[in-house]
Amino acid sequence: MKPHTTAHPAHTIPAVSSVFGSSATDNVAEMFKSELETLEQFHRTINSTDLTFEELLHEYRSLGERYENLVRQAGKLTRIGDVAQRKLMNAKSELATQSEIIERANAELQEKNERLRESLEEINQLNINLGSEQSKADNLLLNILPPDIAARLKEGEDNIADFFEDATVVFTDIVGFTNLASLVSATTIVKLLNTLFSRFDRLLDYYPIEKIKTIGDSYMLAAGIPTPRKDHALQAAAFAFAMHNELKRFVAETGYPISMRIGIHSGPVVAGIIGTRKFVYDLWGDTVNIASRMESHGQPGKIHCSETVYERLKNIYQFEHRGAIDIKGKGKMDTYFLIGNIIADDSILVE
Amino acid sequence: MNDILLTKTTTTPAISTRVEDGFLEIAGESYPENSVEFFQPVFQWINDFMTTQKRFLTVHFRMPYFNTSSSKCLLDILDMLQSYHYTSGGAVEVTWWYDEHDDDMLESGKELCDGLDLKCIFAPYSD
Repeated sequence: MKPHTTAHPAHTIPAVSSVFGSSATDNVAEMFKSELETLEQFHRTINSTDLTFEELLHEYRSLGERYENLVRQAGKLTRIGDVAQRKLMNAKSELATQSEIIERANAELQEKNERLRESLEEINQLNINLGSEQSKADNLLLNILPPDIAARLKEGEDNIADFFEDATVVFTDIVGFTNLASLVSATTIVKLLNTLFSRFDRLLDYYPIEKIKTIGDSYMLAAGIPTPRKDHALQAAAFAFAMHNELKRFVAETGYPISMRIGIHSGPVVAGIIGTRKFVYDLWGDTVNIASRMESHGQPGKIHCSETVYERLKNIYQFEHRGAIDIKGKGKMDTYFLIGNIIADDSILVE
Repeated sequence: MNDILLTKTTTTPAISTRVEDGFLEIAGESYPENSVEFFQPVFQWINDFMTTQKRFLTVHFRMPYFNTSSSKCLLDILDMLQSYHYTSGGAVEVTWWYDEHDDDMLESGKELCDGLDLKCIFAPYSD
């Protein structure tokens, strides 16, 4: 048997058209060339008229063997085809299963992604809230302490005490509150004080003045701390005038019969924070004590200054010499009242 | 006679022969457009080996998948080898390699070799 030789192409075999009809193709015909030749041999044999019985028997046996082989091959091809088909269908089924698994995994992944996205959004919102709270906390701290001091505290500095060679301290005290307390309720007194001191606080936006604290109806401030400046006495004096003017407006609006004493002194101070709870940025030193004495020995509606302040500002403001007064704990001190009316030009104001 | 060296493609197996060693291997999936045309060189090589070499011939098959027309060609190849087995007194051996996890591949090989008198070995491999 010599299958698939090109010496006699299959399509030349007459049996091709009777077996495969008009749909015969060259490669199919070539594939069954041997079988077609057998068929051709069969046709020749049955159409032959000159074969002997023995020759016919021989051809019959030969055809029978070829037929048997053909059936065997057909059976094999069928079974192999079935195996291949089953393999393909299994692969298809497996593919479908894998696709489902992948689809489910994708869906789960999408779900997880969505949950992750939601968690991320929550985290972002928490961060925003945290930032907002942090900002509130910072603002609160800045409301209590100067920015530089607040920053040092946040960085962990726990022993803040700075010496300033030269600064000006101002004390004020509201006069007439005691009488007022007998006329109005305690709540009204507190509200009144809050309104007035809030007005003083707003003035701070316009002057380089550091509010230190309030003690009852007393308002304490300083110039030249925590950032030193050469014109601290001038700024303190200007603020004192602003406070007096603000009080005048307040009295005119409310009709409450109150006035204010102001005391000013310049000199060295120590500024810092003491303690770990409910702390304030406070000042210590003789300068503070003298400033306080200037206030307590002052007069309502006037700004009582020490000689030190006078010497600093005599070329800028007008002063009225009060004379020597007995300052508790300090003995005789020459003091002055700051009148006002700036008399110097800008070249003297700026050092 | 010349040797055959065809590399594997998406639809056709690799085919390699070594006349010197009496070796023929067909490896890979087989579903070409025209199986007869593809396997024609193999038929010719086997025919030439049978008529000119008359030595021991080892044939290896390693085919995970083949279509029906390729099956016909493989049957014809095995028929040629069967014929050589008779004329040479048994100087031919077939090894059908199958993936150890692919029972279908083994079953196909056994089906192809069923009824043949020549020596057929079924050998597993793992990828």
